[in-house]
Amino acid sequence: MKRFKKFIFSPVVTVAAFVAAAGLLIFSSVGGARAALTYFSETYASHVELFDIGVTLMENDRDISWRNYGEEADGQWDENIGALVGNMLPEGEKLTLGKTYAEELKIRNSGTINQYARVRIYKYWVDENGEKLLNLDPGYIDLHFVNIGTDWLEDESARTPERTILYYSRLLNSGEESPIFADTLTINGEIAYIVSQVTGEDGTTTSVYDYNGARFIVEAKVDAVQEDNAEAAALSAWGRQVSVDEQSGVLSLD
Amino acid sequence: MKKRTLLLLALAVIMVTSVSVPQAAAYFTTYTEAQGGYQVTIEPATVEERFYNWTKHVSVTNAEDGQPVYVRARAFAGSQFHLQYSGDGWSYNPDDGYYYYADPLGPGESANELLVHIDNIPLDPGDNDSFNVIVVYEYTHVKYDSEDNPYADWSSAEKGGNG
Repeated sequence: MKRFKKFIFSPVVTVAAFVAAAGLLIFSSVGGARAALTYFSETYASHVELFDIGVTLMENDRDISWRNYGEEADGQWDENIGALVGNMLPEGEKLTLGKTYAEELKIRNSGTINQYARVRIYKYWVDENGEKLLNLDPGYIDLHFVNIGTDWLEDESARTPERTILYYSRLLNSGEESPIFADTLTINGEIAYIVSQVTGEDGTTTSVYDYNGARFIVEAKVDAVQEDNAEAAALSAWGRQVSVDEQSGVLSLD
Repeated sequence: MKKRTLLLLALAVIMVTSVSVPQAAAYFTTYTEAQGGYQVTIEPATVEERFYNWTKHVSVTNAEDGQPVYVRARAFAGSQFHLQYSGDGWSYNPDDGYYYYADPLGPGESANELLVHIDNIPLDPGDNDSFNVIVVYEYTHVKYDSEDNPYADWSSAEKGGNG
């Protein structure tokens, strides 16, 4: 036993073990690379961009925000974060309560691989400092959703007055645009009649409009995952169990 | 020597176990977002009155930061006085006695003056003669139908004051 212990802890054995470990590491990497090359050898030369994933949020047929990964795994990507409802009002016009404005929202697969996607929409009110006003009702911000239950599925279990989560029910192919999930935006005119009585230091009571000066915010977050092994990818990236029919590719919420 | 041995062993273990790490994060995902909004301003319309030549000149002005409104007005006086109304854009509704201004007032816009002339005034008023004419005006925020056409809903009208 003593001789065996001495043998194990001898420098020769240690160096030999290190060399063996390094060899294992090197040859296992080479083996994986060789296997991948063999598997993709027929298309490797002509489809080097095969793994680029990208998604774009569109508003009234204009690209607003996107993130498209490039073909090089260098941590770089093409990205733009735009402003929603930025062109909703004509130049010089103020927001009119009760008026319906065009707000057509959809997404486009701006990558080179097919994908499944979802959109998370948030509506809320903020003050002049950008602080959220929790006492004001997001329900008065009426972003009118369309194509729900067909092209888009709402995760009703995740619905709150502030948040709506929609899943695109089909595979979105590379370059393809989805049907719209919203078509108009209206700020309900009823807020012009919601007033509170405020008593000043001198005891006088005045009426103030609760929503005067508040700023409404509409926020859209788009997530996309790869087509292959989409259920596991969605669960990993979104934390949501979805089912994808192998034949039709249709996504459903469990 | 023993320290170096342990270090080499540790390095060997890390190298062997790290072979399988990259496979754990192998999903392609992407993400983008956008947000935006506008400030809502709601201010009341105001009325201004001037009185000369036995006529009240009533001018209703929407606030610069106000929402579009429809306005209506009427005046009250003692029965001995007869009131005559005039003004471009104003029309009388016999059902409620109000005069309605046809067009909605946008932010900062004013209606044409509503003139309320007092008839039957004493030809030679004495020091103790007095009269009182009160003008009441109301406004209601413009609503829009399904075709986006503006209309007035006077059930939710707000009194703008009187003078």
